[in-house]
Amino acid sequence: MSTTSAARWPERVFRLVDDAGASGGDESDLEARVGIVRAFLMVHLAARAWVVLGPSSEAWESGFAVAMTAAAVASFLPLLARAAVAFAAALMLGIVVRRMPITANHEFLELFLVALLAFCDVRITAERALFVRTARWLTVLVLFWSGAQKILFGTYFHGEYLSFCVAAYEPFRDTLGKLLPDAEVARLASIDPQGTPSGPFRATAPLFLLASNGAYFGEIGLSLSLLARRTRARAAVAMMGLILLIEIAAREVFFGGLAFLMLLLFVSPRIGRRVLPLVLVLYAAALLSHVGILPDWTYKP
Amino acid sequence: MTPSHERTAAGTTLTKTRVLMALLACFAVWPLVQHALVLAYDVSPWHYCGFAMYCVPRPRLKVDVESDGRPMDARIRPRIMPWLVAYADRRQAMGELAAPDSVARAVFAVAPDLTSFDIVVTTFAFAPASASFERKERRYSYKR
Repeated sequence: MSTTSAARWPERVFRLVDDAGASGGDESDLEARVGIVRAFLMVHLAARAWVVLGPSSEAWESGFAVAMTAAAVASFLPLLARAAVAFAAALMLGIVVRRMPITANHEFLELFLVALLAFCDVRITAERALFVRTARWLTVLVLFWSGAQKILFGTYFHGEYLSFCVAAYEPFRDTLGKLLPDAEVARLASIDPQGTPSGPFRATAPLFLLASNGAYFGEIGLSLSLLARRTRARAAVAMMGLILLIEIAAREVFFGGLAFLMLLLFVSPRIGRRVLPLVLVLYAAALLSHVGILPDWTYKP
Repeated sequence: MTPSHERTAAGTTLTKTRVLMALLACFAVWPLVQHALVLAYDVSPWHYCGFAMYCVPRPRLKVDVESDGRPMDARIRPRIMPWLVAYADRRQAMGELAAPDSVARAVFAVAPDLTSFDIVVTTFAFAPASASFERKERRYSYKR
């Protein structure tokens, strides 16, 4: 391979997620996307740091929440933005290491995103494009593997995993359970996974099976559609819809928020500007629910 | 920016591009490695960036301490509870890659007369073929 072609192959791979041209699209458009994602990410990190605090939290966790909030505020000041993001990345690295070996996937993902934002100097046009391209690829891979793993583990073809969720978790019973006959919900709820018998967690209701199989079809199909320029924006919006449906049952507000954040990279900044306030309201509601002002409705990550 | 500064900036961006490409390549294949770890060592599908959340039901496991085949003195369990809870969390994530040595050290510390005991870890693995859970027991023997 010649030096020139060696230099070009990353370009070819990255170009798969570009909107137009080698730089990843229109310049002002890119700047707006990065601005939206940075604002979203920093608010997300600060809000989640507070929402995980509880009576059993240690002092360092409160300190982390205060420091992350300071970083989020500073990231809105142009002079401090880059340093604030780097500080937030260092904080996230600390939390990921501190929580090992039980670090959650969303914490890794948050670290990747904020570290990527710190690594790329987004004041430079080429690095702004590099950030968007890498974050887009990251999104495609996460969504693709979320669907592919469901096939590899074989727990969605007959609704196995979702049957278990209906049996074990009330929010799933209240939502997906509606796709099953009452007798089937009662049967699933009566099974003790640690008892005898411990199953079967399987369903035959057509709509339930459609939802179960549609989950991985949607994740894989839509993630691959993000690679085609023609289908990209619609796939991102459809994926947001799918995540919204999943979150109605799962109520993992902050993981859903993180997924929305990543998908906003694929849609016009105009849409991003509309979605951002809605997510911020949702985060504020999650925080108010956490402190007891609103009823408890979120899953604590 | 002078031409020499521009060249340096372009070089830095190219280096960063290559670094990120390499990381993305690792990220693209890692879920397969994580999947293999789940199958081989019962590592949690929910952890370690395999993005296999909501794939496999994983009820909470049980950790018991037995001496001569019987549950250990009931007064000891509350005293080693922090180690049991921490180990259960670690075990839930790392599967068989996590041995209960920390629990064993705690047991020896609170029961100086004890010469040997077993730590029994019971997990409930989901078998897609039967759509049911299979009880699995792993016994770790410790001697002073």
